[in-house]
Amino acid sequence: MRSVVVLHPGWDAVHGEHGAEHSYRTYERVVRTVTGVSPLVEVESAGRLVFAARGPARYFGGEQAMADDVQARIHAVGSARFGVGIAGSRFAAAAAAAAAVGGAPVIIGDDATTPFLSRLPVGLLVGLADVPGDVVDLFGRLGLHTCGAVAGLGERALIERFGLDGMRVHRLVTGRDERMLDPGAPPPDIVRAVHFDDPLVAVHNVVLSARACIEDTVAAVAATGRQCVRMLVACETDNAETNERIWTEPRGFDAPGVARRISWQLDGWLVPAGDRDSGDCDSGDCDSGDTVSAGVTRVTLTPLECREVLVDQLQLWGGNRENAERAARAVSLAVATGGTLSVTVPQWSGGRDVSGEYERIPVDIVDLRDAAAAETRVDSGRGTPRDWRGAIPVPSPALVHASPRQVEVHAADGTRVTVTGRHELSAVPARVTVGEREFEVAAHAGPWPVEERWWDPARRRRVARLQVLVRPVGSGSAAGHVLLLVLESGAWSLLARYD
Amino acid sequence: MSAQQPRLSRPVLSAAGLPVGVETAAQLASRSGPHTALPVAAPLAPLLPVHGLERGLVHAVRGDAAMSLVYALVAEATAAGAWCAFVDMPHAGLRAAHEHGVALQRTVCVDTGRVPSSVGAVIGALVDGFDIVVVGSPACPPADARKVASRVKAQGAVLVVHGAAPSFAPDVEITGRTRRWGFEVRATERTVEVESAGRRVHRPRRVTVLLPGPAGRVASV
Repeated sequence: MRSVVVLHPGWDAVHGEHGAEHSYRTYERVVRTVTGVSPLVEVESAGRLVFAARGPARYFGGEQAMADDVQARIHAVGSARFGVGIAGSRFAAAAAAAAAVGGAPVIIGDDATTPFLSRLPVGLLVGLADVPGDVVDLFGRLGLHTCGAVAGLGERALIERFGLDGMRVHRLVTGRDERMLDPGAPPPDIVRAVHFDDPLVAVHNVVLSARACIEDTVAAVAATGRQCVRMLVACETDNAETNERIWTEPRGFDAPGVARRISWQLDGWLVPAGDRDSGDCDSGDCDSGDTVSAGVTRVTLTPLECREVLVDQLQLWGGNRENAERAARAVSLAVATGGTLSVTVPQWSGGRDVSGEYERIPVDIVDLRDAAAAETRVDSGRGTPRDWRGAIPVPSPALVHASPRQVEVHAADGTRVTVTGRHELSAVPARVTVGEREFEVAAHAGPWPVEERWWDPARRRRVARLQVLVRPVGSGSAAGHVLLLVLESGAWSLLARYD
Repeated sequence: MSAQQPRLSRPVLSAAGLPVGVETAAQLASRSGPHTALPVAAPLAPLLPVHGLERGLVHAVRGDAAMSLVYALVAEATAAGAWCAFVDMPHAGLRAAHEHGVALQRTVCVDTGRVPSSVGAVIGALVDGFDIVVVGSPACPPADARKVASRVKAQGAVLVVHGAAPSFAPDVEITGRTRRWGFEVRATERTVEVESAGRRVHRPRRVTVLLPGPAGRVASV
């Protein structure tokens, strides 16, 4: 089957500094651009996508024209180092794309695919097809340096020596790799869909509402004794706009894995009405055709390819795996108990707000058992507040009010204290009134100003934060409370407390 | 990274404070016995009879430094691999928790919606899987609170109650009182007197610590 591969080498190294999650989310921009050429795109990993050449090539009047169009589109979203390759098999197309990086698209004709494959060095099997490194090492030590030499061993010898890996290698080097494994087994006839009566516009809500359907799909595949490695996720809106994507997970999908893919797929496509015309799309290609006009009403999950369940080596060792498993079980148990329960995990998102630095994201879209993902999620050891200009200095307030309450700040002469346009206090604060209680100010620090989105008159935000050490009026004690006050649109409120 | 961390099988510390890796059946039965505890930061250890958060007990944290005290108490255990759930604490400052050393990668925040009839059931479900469950002002009927306490005991978890909780009878009560704020240029450190009492603490114990200290964590004066 003629396949088109678009390859961004080293995408993970450049964009994966905040973990795989971030790397996939940034890659989504490229994927969405390519969906303009072919509506159904398969994301093999962040930095590599595949789609079938036949339909789009016919539309563009030839593979060359289509490849040029894809190249131009990706250039337009600001990517420079990538390659577009077309060939008669997936692996050959990926190798062609690797050769095309930084230059014109490489197109390998159907007749040329086999000779092209046979000349490829075996090392490409590791980088482009995720064949285990030790298998390829052994090929090298056996004196098999090209894919052609490996193909010469024959399928039987490869399977006998390397098992499933051998079978896969044989498919790759002979250009029969439309599916990763098990091409003989037809995909099980499992399709699950969920329909929402009210169109959903928030990604989180779609994921939450589709939870039962996701679990049902994964369970249905598991009931056949197999696990899904490729899944088609289709979302449909009220206005019959669709967003389809094929996702690949060589280790087999579990329910949170599918939920994560849905959230990546919808992020950016599903934009709440208020934010649609904001300046988030820097290159101007995010026209109205790129987002949707209504909420999602239907999510359909179709497992495309399944394989026998392999023992996941990761589960056999790994330090805190057992504790994480117990915690994940307790969370699902608790969710089953309480109807109005919301369970979240902290995710570092940076910024200058005391409340916004750690975002609380729904537990449904993360895998609690994935320790490495959790480390990158909270970004431990990184992102000290000092890195952000205007951030509140360490130590941070222990108690952050969910809904700040109004307070009054007065100077000694009774005038209200404000902050000037040059970020200076209008007077030295002397009294703070919180509800009925009055405090005298013993010391203050700041103001620390924040100007956000000053370029956008509709969404700009200008606030100043002030740290005060206060004591109840007339108490005379040396102790006291430290409060963090914020001035926004002329009104002070109590943002946080150093409890 | 996680592979290098000590694996936290129960119990974590023996009476002598040594890590115990292997459990016998007898030890398993006495999981909630007096000798199993989760580690706490050294400056706070003298407050607690076993120098750690004893498994199976209900701890109440009060006073005007309660929030920081909660972080300081649970930080060491979460860093060693324990999982922690913050229940009904939407006001928890997670950046401060991180500065105190709480391992946020093993922290989960739960919001029950504060329905008195279901809060107990949710806490009960969480203590089955989490080593530490911190609850903010739980408003459940006393009967539910007793059920939760016995489940905490049976599971060998540590329950920490923050704020008003009239229905819970704590085994250990830890109260912080601010003595002085260090405020040069801005708030830097705070001297807090912490006292522990309760039916598991035979004689009230008292320490004075910096909470937070200069590095954000709890420190000795």
